[in-house]
Amino acid sequence: MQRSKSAVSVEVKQVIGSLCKLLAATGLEAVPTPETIRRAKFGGGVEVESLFRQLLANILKKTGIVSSEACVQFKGDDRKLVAAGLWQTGYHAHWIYAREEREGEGMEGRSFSSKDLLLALGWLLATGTLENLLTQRVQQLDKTLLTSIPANTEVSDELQLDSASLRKLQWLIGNLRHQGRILLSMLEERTQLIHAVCSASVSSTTPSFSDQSSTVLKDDCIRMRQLCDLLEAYVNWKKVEKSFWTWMDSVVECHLSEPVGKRSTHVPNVSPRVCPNGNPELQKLEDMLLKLPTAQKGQRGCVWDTKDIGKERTHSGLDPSSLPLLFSVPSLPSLSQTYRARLQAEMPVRHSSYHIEGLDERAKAADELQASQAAQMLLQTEAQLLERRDRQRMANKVLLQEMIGRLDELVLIPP
Amino acid sequence: MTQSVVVQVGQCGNQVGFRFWDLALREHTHVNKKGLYDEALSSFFRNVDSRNSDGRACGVGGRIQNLKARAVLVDMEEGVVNQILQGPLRDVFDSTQLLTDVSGSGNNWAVGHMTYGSAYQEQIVDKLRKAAEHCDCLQCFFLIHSMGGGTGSGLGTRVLSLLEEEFPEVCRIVTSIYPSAEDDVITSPYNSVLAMRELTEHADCVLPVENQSLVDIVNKIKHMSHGGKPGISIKRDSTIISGQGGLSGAEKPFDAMNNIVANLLLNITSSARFEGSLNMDLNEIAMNLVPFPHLHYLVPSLTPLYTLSDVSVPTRRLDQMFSDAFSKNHQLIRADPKHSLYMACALMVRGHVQVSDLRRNIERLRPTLPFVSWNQEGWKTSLCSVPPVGHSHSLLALANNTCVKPTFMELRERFTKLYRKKAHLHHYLHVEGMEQSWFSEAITSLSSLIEEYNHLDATKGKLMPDAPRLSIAR
Amino acid sequence: MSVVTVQLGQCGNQVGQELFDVICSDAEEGQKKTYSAGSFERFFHQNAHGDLVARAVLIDMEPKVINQSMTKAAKSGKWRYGEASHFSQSQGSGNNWANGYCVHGPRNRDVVEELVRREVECCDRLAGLMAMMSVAGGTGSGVGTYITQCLRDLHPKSFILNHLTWPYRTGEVIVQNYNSVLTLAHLYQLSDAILVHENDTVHKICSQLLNIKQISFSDVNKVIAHQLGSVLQPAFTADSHGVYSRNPLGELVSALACHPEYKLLSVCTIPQMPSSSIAYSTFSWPGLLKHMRQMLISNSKMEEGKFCSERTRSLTGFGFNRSLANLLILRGKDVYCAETGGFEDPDLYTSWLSSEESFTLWKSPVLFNKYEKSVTLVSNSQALLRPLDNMVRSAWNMFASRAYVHQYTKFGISEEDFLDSFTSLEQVISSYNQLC
Repeated sequence: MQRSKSAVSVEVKQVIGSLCKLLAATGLEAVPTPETIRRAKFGGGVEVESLFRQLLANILKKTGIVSSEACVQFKGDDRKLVAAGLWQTGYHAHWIYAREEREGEGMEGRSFSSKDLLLALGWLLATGTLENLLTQRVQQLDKTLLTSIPANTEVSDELQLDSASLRKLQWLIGNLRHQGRILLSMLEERTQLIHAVCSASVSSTTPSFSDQSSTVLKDDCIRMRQLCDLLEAYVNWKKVEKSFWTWMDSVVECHLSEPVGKRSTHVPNVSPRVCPNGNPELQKLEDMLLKLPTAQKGQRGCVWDTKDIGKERTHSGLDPSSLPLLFSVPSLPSLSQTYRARLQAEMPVRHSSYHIEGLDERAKAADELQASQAAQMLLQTEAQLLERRDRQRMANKVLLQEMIGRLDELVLIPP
Repeated sequence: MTQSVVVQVGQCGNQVGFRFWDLALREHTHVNKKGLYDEALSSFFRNVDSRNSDGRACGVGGRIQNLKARAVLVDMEEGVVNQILQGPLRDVFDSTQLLTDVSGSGNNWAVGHMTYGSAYQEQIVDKLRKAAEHCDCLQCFFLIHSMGGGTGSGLGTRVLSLLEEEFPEVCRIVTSIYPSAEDDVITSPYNSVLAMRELTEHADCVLPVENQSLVDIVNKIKHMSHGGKPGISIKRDSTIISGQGGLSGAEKPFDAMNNIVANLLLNITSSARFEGSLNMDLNEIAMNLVPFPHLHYLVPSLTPLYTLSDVSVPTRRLDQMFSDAFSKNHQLIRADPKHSLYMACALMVRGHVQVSDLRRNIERLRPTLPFVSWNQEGWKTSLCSVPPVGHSHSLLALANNTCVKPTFMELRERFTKLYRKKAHLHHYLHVEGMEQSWFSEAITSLSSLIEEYNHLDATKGKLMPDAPRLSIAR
Repeated sequence: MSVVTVQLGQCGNQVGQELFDVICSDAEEGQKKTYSAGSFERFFHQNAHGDLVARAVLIDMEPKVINQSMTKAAKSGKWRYGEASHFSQSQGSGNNWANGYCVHGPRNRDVVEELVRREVECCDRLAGLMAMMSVAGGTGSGVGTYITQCLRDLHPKSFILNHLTWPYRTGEVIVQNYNSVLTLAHLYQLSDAILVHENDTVHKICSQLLNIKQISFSDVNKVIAHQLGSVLQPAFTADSHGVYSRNPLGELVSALACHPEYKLLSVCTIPQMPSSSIAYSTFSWPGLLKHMRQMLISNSKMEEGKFCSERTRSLTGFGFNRSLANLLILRGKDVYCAETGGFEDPDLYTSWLSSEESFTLWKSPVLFNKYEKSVTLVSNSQALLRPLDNMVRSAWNMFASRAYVHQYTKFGISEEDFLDSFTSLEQVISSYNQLC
């Protein structure tokens, strides 16, 4: 028992280590040591907290969840920035709503611990932030990536489902598949070349290299190495990711088992669905947002999506009015969905009781988020929804076409 | 490269085999100028270094040491085999390949098949295995025998079923010499019909050759070379009955006839032995020419019978060669394929002939030939670049044609004539293991074979509609 | 970007050898360095002695033809086959598809896969695999089908093109229609595109255009190699921006065979003439293109000199050859002046594809195989419908009487397997029939 426990802790250290390496490789600054992260489970001191806050702030900034303009407005107040950013990703924990004034009240008045920040980190990882960071970094480093493919793929809306259109569709799908294979083979060649360059640069020791070659080449070489490190770190992380989530589960359990009184010493007087930095204009926007899904629903006429939403709603126990928040969550990754569900299921329950009293607090909340920004968000959301609708349409079409295809294959053989 | 083993059984089988080995050596000597043991030679010969005490064969590529025929010689008399062993070809065989007795089968199929078959079964299998072990890749057994006598037909067909048992994967091509109607062996109809059943059931392909046809061809050639028209002179030693250039000197009475059969075997294997632009392996023969398992009697015809001394080869003469292959006079059994029904036909061409010559002649001859409705384009072709000795080109046609039917019916008639009177039956029935049911089963087998040909003949000349095609539901 | 060729059976090994010969001598004469370099990279690699070695694997079940092809290649002095990139057994498949597919194929799978793997590893970048074979015999068709299946398993994402030689209609092999039906039905599921040459058509080209009196298989194979070479040699595509396209198989397949029901491609090249007259002949692009368009419409795969003008007027009448997609390859002098609008006519094509999707144009300013100008058309059209229909009908008639079926069941191909193959080919025929 003892041995297995220590083995587990060693493993956890390694797992967190690989996560830290990956985070560092994605270009984040000030990544805490693995030990810091591990200790955060048991509630670290102030310095642990500040390290964490900085990490979260960096992540939020880097992924663009909090825009650079907003950063300027927060004036280096990491706490606010983190709270606002987390709120935008759909993360609602009570400490987010804790008011600014309380900060001065010392240790016993603190509404959150490093554990909360650790959970928030888990949330961010689970919602695909890591992949976003990775993509960004790869795009930065790999100058050889193709930007766009010239291929005629547009399908007009007035496409009928007769056999001719079906054949055309089959043709286009075939064409796309072939193009994909051509690109894949190009990519394979690239990888081989990168590998060749890397191994060549490793073997031919750098000093002789650096003097004669141009700086461009040197930069390229460095970038390639960084890219390799990054991808390697990601692969390592993917290998051990499962254990991390098991560990994270233990953090959640540990968090839930804490006495309720301790957790809710400070009742935040804020509605769960209101941004701590909310303002009246934002409220108006939010109302608009609220109308959006119903309008979309009508247009879409799609069974799956509404069902999906319904499921999510019952799952999270949220009232219908909180829907817009769900929609504003950026792209939802398929990875680690279960973990996200757990976090969600856990938190709103805690807040539902403060729902009513929080309503009047809304106006008091600090006025920090600009309307223009929110409008942008709204547009983004709309674009995402439209995209989802189109994808759904395509999926239906393919399904139908498959069904018809199956009918096509029917052959009658004379006796 | 594959190898073949020749199994020659009985007096006739050994005489034909003797001619075959002589001509095979002549052909390879002619082609193989370097004196090296090559792939082509290896298909019928082993190269044995006599200095090696263990008698192990040398590999392909070395110098020719001592060629040994891939053959098994079986006879229940000693005469013919002893002649071979004292003749010029004695070095080609060694004693381990031979199996002889002294008393003969007395023209009795049952004695050959039952008595000797059982007595020598182990020895025969042993010798066959030895021959097979000497091959890298044994593809084919060529069995040569006659149908009329006792040893050839009786023991020969016994060997055939042993081959099937021991080497089921290896192709069995049988050359059977059918007796003339006025054969001096009185029991030959019995022997032939009893042997026919074995051939129908155990052979992959049978090449029937009739004595009478061979006699006719020999006479024709002799007439041409002696009398002949003025202005036409036959190139010396170019006839397919000639043994000139072989090792054996003086010709014996049947040599001319046997040379024809030997040439048939050489031509049938030429595409498997030598290079060409369109190869034909031995296993392709049955595949292409046998549409139904029992209908594997392939009528051979060889052209040209001789080459004129005039060296230039006008296209006309080349085309004549193709026409002749379908004429009655060039078939090795007395039959007229043009007026019967073709199921399939193979054209095996040797020499400097190109695919365009082949196409031109197929297109020219095709309308004159009746083909079965489901195989209107039933041609198998091969082009081998090495011509036979003394010729610039040659053609062997193998036809799976219902024209074999009259020969079989005639045989049945002669059998029935004897069998009705139970003539000589007791000679067979006192042989151990022989029962009268063998006779009735043999004649039933032959009748049903004839019936199968009848069925096909019935479709001849009728316009057969295409089989209704599968239709695709839309 | 390189192509690995797998030569199967007597026909595949003979045609393959001629193809490499054409490509090598054409690239060697190439006036442009990039052209030759591109071509060499595609089809050859260099061994330690600096010799050009074909990226090819030679497979046959009997050794004679492989020996012949290897010797011929070495004799050319320009290129050779890899010392160890061939495999043969001593016994052929005996014209039996079942023997090749069920016995020889599985028995020799590992060896062949290893040979192909080694050849693929030699490539910096693999554009795809090309299997060359005939459909008539046993080794090319049976083993060829099996090996194509293995290649598909090993390289699920690579392009696989099958080059098939269809036999003379009046037989080379009596069971050729059975073998063809079984091969085509299987390959249709495995291959990305099937490029077909018919012996009958090529034979006609030899006799009528090249004026060869005594046509040998070598002559026939040379014509096939010439046409194939002009498809596979480097060319500029519409969006390659002055760089030779690097993935010939991929570009070919995505231009012509995107639809799973339509994979049969026919090829024709003009002009073709005796090599002695090439030097004295001049051609104009408009003339050649007009000619080629007429050949396309009337489905004559051979330049016949005169055309009935009515045919060109009515595009809907009987005998009109409807296309699904066409790829036009122009090579030679002043290639940029050539006007190809005639091939973009929507009336040529099926109604459900626009002519932008149906028509693709490749160009190369380098003279091909000594011809001042040369036009090659690769067409996914009804051109092969009739020969395919004949093939299936003959095989079906034979199957209705069950002739020769026992030769196949002996090796484990059942009557149901035959029926499946017939069914899938009837589907193909019906699809091409309904092209309008």
